[in-house]
Amino acid sequence: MDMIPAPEIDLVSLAPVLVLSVFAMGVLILDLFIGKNKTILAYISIAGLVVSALCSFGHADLPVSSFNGAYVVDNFSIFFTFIFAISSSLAILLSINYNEQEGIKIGEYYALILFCTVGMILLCSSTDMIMIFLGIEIVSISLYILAGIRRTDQRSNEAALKYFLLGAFATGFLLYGMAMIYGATGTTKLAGISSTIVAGGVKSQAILLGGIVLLLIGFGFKVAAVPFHMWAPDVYQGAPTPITAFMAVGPKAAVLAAFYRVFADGFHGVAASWEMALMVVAVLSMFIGNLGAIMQTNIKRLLAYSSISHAGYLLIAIIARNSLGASSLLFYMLTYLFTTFGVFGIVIILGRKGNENLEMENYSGLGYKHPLLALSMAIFLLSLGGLPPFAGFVGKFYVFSAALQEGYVTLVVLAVLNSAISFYYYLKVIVYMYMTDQKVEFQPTLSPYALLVVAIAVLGTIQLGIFPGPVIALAQ
Amino acid sequence: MFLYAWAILFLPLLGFIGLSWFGDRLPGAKSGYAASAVVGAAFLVSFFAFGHLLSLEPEQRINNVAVLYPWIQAGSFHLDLAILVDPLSVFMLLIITGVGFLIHVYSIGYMDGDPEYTRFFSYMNLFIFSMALLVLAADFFFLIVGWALVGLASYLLIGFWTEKTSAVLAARKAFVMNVIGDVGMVIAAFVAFDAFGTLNFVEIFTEAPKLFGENDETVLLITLFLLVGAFAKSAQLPLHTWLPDAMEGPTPVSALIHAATMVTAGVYLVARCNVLYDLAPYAMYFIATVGATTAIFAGTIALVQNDIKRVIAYSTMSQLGYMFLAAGVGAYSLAMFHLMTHAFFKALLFLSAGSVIHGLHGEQDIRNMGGLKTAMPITCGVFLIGTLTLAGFPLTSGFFSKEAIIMSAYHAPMGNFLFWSLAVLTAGLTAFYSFRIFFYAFLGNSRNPQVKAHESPPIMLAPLAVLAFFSLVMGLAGPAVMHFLAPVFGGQIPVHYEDGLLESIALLAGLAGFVAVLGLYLTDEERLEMIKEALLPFHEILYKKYYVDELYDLLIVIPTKATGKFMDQLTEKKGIDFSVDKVGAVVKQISEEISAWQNGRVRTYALNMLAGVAIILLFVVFK
Repeated sequence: MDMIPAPEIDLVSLAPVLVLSVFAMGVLILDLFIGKNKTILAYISIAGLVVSALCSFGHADLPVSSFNGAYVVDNFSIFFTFIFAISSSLAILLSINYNEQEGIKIGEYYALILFCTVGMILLCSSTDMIMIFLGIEIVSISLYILAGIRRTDQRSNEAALKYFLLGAFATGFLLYGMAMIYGATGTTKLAGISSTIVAGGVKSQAILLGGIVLLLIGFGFKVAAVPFHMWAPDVYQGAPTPITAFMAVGPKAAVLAAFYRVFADGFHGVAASWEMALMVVAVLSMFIGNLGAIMQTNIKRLLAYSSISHAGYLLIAIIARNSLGASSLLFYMLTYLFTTFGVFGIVIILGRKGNENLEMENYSGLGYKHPLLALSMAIFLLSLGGLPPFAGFVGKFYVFSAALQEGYVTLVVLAVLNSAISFYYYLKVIVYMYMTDQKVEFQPTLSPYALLVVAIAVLGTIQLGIFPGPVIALAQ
Repeated sequence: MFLYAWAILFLPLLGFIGLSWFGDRLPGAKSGYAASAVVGAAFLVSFFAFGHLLSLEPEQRINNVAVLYPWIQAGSFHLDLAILVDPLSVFMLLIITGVGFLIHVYSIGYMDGDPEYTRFFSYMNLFIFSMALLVLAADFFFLIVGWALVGLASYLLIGFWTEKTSAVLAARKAFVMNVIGDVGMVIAAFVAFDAFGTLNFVEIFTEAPKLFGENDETVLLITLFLLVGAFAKSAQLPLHTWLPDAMEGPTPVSALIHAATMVTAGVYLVARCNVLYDLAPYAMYFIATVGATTAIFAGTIALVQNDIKRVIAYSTMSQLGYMFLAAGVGAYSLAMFHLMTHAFFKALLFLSAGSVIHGLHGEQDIRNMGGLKTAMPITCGVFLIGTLTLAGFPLTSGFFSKEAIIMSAYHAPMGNFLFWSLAVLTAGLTAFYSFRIFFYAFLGNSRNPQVKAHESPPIMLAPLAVLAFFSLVMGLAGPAVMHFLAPVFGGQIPVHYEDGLLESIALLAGLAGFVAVLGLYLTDEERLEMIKEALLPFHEILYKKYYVDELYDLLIVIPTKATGKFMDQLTEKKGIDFSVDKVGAVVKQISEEISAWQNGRVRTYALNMLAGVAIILLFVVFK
């Protein structure tokens, strides 16, 4: 009987994951020995994220493939690791005061964010479907719990349960799709799948295509693309706000990274078959996301729909599947990170104990009462819409250029049209802030952590908008 | 190695931002001092850069690009935050910041007591910043940015007294005229980008002679569209109408617009693009023609205007005509030399006119002045110096620069008799109208004894003294200026043409103008009325400025308004509004349907997913 060869173990490649896991467990253990104030855990978690991100520079010559080609460290994964580290850190910063205010005194909260980040890093580095599945599950399970972490809050519970049920459903498709692809190509490694398809060694084209569709559905669910998006508004609204921000950025970026690797690298050979389906999904996401957002009055639901439309824009980068597409995906994600955390930062600042102030009407007159907060909010919203000179414009510009380079003119026209639609609801918030009279008394929770997040986000949004050069160069 | 030159930009920018945000917290006149200090500091940096350039070999003085930051990179296209430090830009900066500084100092006194004192100075700093950006730009992109910002700053300053309707209208007019120019610039930049694949000056100017021959269509297109911008900014025919109206702003603003900044931008642009213009003799010829025509056109109008600032304003137009004439016949450095001497004496004239207006509590009509030499002796003295210089009195700076231009208008390879005679005629007119206001305002007896004139405070007089000094002596710097600028213009130094006959005629023309106005001044009232009667039709045409404003109204403004009204009623209300409302209603309905679809039930969601799966599977696998 043949022995299964034990893969070579490359600890340097895994260093970010290992470091972060150790920190996460450290947080869990420390949690038992400290009192009610969990702020120290937040600091430790951020330290862990920083160390972990720095560890991703372990290899000098990139890309390095290890574990029999199941795991790769390349510029793509390092860039994403940084996006994850930043987004998780910002989420933690937003959480410190929010948790105190909402009475979430659970140390596992921070550990779960770290575990989730571990899954995200695994996802963006995986080149084997088994690894990808592992990554997605680590991410998802952490998120199910995080969404429902306000155990006494009905909405939070409902969100978690819905997310879990539908997530499990989607995971089923994902796993089944992977099995079908293994059946058709005889391998789970992306490189192997790609070469088998190109060489024409596929056993059954129908099984392969079926598998691809099921994968598309699994991934589509995780990035909240239409028609698998329906969990998003409910879950975004019910989850604690910092977790909503976190979900909108980190896990979505991680799944998109895997999505990109699987479809643009793995299934490149049969692109003609899945391209149209993905385009329809992208276009529907943009339209349903933007049109759905128009009538929302709750700011978190509005942002949920907005994030559905952004998933649509991001899918365009995958459809383009050229080098500009990959780098534009990275850049877009980074701009989306700053603006999203900025918006949610403001939302959290304006909330207070017992009243989160989530109705859009409550923003009336903010521009006069708190000009700097309102200005920051306006900058984020305009950036989300894609107005120069803010980061969102540059991100959209590169994504659309990538698609144009490959000749997807109709797709880009529809995307630009959607950008225009999106201004309606982004501007609506601005109109409330600047052009209507104050309706409620503002009592912003001006916690230094949340303000720091907003400041970082403003800087990032403007810096990437006006001087995108160096970051673009990195992303390439 | 010229990275420090960025300070010239950042100092006034800092002043603008600082004064806009925190200026109100400064007590008293502090904001005026702060604004002057940053411009003064910018001047010192410019002066340092000047010394630095002098320390280099002449051939190393050009093409010095200081890149602060590589801004945009897309394929072969790149756009940097870069400035071009060479003799031309430094020469301009010395004028902009030097004269600008004096005007700032003067304004401390002039604007004293204005409720919007701080806002004024923040705009002034913005103006200096925009102009510095314009001349330092190392590519068309930032040139246009500076160009547009200058337009914005002038709009803000001309309309500074927002309660004055005429000022607001004048500001709007200036803005519209300038935007016409901006459009020309932008088109020129597009054509240049299309032809050269870059916007960078150094790259374009090195490539142009290799790629294009003389009078090539592309080069002509670029140069002519650039001229639209240059003529609008520098108030040349037919885009000049904003300049006289711009007098509605505070007087220091007029001085700034007319002397140190803004109107010189067009001349600078032609000088900066001299490589392109050398390739386009047709465009050069066009420049010289427009310049000479504007010179005489404005000179004749100035003869009969009664507003002291308006006369000086038309003289600016006329003098700018000289500069374009010089540039058009290829004597770029002569144009720059006249630009410099003009900056001094025009700032001097405007500021001393401001001093008169200040002393007379807002009176601007020369018919209501007179006899000011006893009440305002210092102002009178410096105004006389300004008048002499403008009129080109021998040995003043205006004499050297203007005489050289008049000579080149005939003798330069592109010159001819017509250019020369227009230039000489203008010289005569200049002497006439400049002494006319001097006689009216300062000599004789006061025509309005109720108003007690008073001399201006020292903070206003000191800048006047400095400007008077430079107006007198800077003519001697002519050869030095041309040597300094030579590397930018391919090493060329304009020949100084010796021609006793032509020189004498030019001098005589000036003298004739002076004698004529003196004669008129000495004639008694009765005779004067008779002369006026005889010349009435001419007087009317000139007084109405050749009816250009009325013509524009008739040809452009009225038809545009009519079209607008028609569009408003037909296409806007019945077409666009209607369809937009319909689209809006449909979108709203869809949005509501989507919200309704989101009913909160997990089973609906799951069913939905399943439907999606089924459809996509059918679509992909079994198509």
